Amino acid sequence: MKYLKYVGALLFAFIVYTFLYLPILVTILFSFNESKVQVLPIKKLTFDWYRGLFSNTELWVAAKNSLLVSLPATLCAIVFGTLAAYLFQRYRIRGGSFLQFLILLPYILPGIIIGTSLNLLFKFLQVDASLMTVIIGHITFITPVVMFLVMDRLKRFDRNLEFASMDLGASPMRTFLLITLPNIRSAVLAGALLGLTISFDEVIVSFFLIGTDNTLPMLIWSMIRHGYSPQINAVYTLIVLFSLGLIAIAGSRLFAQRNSKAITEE
Amino acid sequence: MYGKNLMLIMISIWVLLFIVLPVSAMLLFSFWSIDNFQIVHSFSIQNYSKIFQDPIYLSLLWKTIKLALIVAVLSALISYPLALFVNHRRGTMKTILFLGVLAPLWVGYLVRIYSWRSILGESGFINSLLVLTGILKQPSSSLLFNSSAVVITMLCIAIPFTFIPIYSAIEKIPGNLLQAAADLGASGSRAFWTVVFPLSMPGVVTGFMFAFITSFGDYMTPSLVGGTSGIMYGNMIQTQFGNSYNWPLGAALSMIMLLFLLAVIAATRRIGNVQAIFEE
Repeated sequence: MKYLKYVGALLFAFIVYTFLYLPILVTILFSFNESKVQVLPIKKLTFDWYRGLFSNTELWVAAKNSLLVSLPATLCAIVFGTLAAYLFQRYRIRGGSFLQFLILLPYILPGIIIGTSLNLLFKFLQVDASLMTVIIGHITFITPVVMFLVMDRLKRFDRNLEFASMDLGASPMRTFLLITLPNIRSAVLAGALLGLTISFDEVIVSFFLIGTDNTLPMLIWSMIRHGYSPQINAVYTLIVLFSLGLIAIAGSRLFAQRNSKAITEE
Repeated sequence: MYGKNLMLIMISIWVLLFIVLPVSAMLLFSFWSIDNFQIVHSFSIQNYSKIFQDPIYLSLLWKTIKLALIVAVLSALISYPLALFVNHRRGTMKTILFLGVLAPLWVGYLVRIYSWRSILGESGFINSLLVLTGILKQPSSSLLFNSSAVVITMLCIAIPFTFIPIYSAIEKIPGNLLQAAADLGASGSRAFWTVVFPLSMPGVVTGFMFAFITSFGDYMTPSLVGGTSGIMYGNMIQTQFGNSYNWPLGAALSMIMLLFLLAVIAATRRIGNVQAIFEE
């Protein structure tokens, strides 16, 4: 009976994980398929779609644009997110939980609301859509990610170290830089990697804020609308592998520190 | 104290620039109107009265609520046992399985929708598999471009969102509570229903809310796999900013979505815990 239950649980988990990863696996599989239609059985394998990527300048420009958006957006989000986390975790502020909720909103709400509202603000201010407006859109949803990862770390960090530093005469700024920051470093880094990944993949908010320069997901969105191309599979296979790598690093960072802390506590 | 005020000012500016001003602009536009492709800059409630009188908008809103509810219920029903399963593993395996559910949250949103389109399509993965194994004689076209294709695709996107809060709620339940239940003679299933399940409820509510909100606001999934019958509320907003060029109407539609979802969040925040998603 117990054995049956165990097999049932394994089977259930297997089905769910397959369901979650089926679209990604199919994408990877068909990126090596020579045929232009996505049908089984695969007759011949090829690297042609990957080779084609090198000569597709449009893709490279779009990838560059994506970095031009993701890097500055993540940088701003790290500064604001860490600042907000420190403020909310270390001081009592009237209306603090409401402010926190407002910062969290762009993460909870669907991108279409962030996209349309910023789009209308820029129309009102008569700011032309460009990569700059996309950056602003991306800052809104990366900041809460960084904020909550850092807050969580600050919560578990021994505040007496900060008090000791200030008792010994260090200014709050010096204390933050020399004591607090090194201790929350891995959370900030994990937030940055996650922020980069999310931003690099983002298409819904960008859709409403983009000008004439395409980001990579926006270019792929327009490619998809024009029909099927195995090249899309090849691009996305590369993006997925890259993103999974970043997430693995971010995850191992978070877990490594957590586990080492658990050991010292025991 | 000087530092605190400076930080507070910077954070307030952030909130003003990124939240308050955009929403204000949206509110303002929603009270304007359009005449002869020109925006009329005078106050009118005509967008709202149009939305609440024309059955097209309300029926689409209702349909979107139903679809998002279906996705959220299914997502919770799948995520809960999955969270129990992952929580029962130990060591590295647990970490890998946990990150394995999380990773799709941040990877290839667009390509996963696109991939479902080719998986479900007439000349797609599933059809060719069914024909190859002899289950079907002819590829079927009934898998794609309808509401069930939308639900399947959204479910694939929503499960990680639902999983995280449920998992973190279950993981936080102290093991000695279960030990105590067992010592007092409770069977495994009794301990689950009287200890684990009630304590995990806030996580379930939050997860449910996340799945509902993401699905409710999604317009890319319906436009890629929904066909004409799978259109949702978000598509209507997108159209106003694209082909129709009716920004004021789009603003009003978006405003209604915002208010509705804020009500959903307010209702679930009483029982759930939104912040739990960021704590492992």
